[in-house]
Amino acid sequence: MNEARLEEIEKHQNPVRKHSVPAMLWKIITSYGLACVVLFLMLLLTLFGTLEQVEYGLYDTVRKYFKSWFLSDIFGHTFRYRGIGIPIPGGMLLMTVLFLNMFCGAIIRARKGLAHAGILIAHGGMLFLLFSGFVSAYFSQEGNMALYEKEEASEFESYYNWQIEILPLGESDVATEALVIPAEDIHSLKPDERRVFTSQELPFDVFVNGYYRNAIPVPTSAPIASSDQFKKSPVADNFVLLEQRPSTDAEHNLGGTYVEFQAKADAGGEGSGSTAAILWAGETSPFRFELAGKEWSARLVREKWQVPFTIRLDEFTMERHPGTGIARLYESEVTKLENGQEESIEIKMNEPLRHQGYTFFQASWGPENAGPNDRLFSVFAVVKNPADHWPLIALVIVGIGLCVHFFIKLMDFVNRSQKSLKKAAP
Amino acid sequence: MYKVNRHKTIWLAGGTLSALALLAGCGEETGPKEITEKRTLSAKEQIPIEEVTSEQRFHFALQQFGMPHEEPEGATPSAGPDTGGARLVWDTPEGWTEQPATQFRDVNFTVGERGEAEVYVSRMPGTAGGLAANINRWRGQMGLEPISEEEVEALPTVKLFESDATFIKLDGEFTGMGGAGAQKDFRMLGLMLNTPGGAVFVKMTGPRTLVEREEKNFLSFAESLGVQLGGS
Repeated sequence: MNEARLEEIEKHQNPVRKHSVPAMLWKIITSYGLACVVLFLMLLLTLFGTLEQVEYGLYDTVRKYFKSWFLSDIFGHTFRYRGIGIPIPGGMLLMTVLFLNMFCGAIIRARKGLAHAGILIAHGGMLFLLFSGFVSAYFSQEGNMALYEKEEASEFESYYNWQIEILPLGESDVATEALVIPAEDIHSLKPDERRVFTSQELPFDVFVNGYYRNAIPVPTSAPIASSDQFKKSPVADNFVLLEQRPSTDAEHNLGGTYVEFQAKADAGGEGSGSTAAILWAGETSPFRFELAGKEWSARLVREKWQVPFTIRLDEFTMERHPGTGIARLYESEVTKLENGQEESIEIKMNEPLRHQGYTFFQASWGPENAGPNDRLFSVFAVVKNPADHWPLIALVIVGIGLCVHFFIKLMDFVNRSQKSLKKAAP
Repeated sequence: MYKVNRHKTIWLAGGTLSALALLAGCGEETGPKEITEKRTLSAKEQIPIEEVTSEQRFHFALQQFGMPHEEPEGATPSAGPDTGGARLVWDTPEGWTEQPATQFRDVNFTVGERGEAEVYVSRMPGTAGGLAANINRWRGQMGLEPISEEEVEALPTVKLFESDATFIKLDGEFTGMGGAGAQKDFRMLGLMLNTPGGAVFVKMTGPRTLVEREEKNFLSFAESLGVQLGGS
């Protein structure tokens, strides 16, 4: 019995199977049509994202278009059907669908065998590339470390995110450790939302009332503070926060929030009660207060990450273009200190230090407008990305897959040519 | 039977997506959240934290507003805005008397024999709440109803710092910031400009007949305003 006959019998025995819901879903998920639609939508996202980036900056646009599951608008324009907003698929959703589509269509459903090995390998490489994108999006950390000569550090800080730190003050008003309210817990707060944080180590609860990505404190005596937008705003020590439009350079945003510290019922102490303050990213000094008979401090600082080794800047060299203040070349000689061992390393532009999954790039220097005799600091861009080299590996896999496929096709062509020649031979 | 039509398939797919969206939203906690993260401060950070006033803590904000501010001793901020060291320059019209700058006014004049009218220039960070909000705040000071964004957009413009500033001319009963009673038959001339460095306001208020007479001087004063870089 041949294959076609078997298929016909199968069709008669199970006449509805191909119309079942799972079968239809499977057909959609594995279809070329879906891949085409997704790729077309990704093209549109790239186009609109590139255009919108001019007005809103790179960071915000990448977050809105490519690191989101859905978009609420494009250029501020929302799409509605009978008053109901239609969500626009974001980069994350499209890449997830493309991953599923490729995995189901090009790996599971695809024909197997030696003849298709190259195609399978190439698709495997593409899937790995998409997967490395997910890992980078969710698990990478990106920030910077600024050091003057002879200074050392074992942590780097975020360009964009701010966290709240509560500092218990000890002897001589010095704090040695901080309790951290992470950036992810406050950045998601809208200006009219409140979130409460508590700790067994604190005799008070922390109420965070709204978060502004870019704001500036304004005294209530300023004329602008009398406008309607401040009518419902909290006031802390005669200051209110004036919200600013986020900068197109997201690292220049200065976040701000209203906080309230309320003593717990069982806290005791003479200073029990509550106190409120504005924490602002541009403040010159942390907010200091007394509560439950102890001295505390609170501040809004850039999110910080620990590095499992220490970097010391030994020497920073910067050469300027003759007759100008423009830097021509800058490089840093650093020492990596780890487990009592010291290692001297040079970090230059395009020659980063890579160690334990961290990469230190020579990014910039400061202070801005420094004169020839001013003390300079070196700034390293620090990236921790578990998928740092995965895109390269993925592209190598894709390359191998395409070479294998090309070779198989070449051999097939040669074989067929030889057969034709044999047939044609007299 | 498993046979379904296309509509059912669409509903099923839609329902699955909605359920996923609901599940995603269920992660939000409503109660107090435990602080679990701790950080040991670096040696550089272990410095005495003194008690300072809010004016000292927000020194850079006040500086940007051009307000008097007390600089905290030994402050070494990492993220303070750069003011650039620029200063305003202008030509003073005849008959105008310059007054000392005040908390919110970079340039301050009185006009008229008894100083009945006043003119000032002030700068604010960002957009200072936006053009429409400020126009309507000024209209409110003149006892006038607010206008829409479209009407604000349609207002005439005048050159200020070589850009087009929105120009308003309002007649009414003036109630200023001082909280004094309404002053009848007043006129307000105002210019508002949003620049990348912040918002600039030039404003004249006084008895209508006097302001009407001084309108030309007001506009030439605005045109003469410039920025000189480099401090002194």
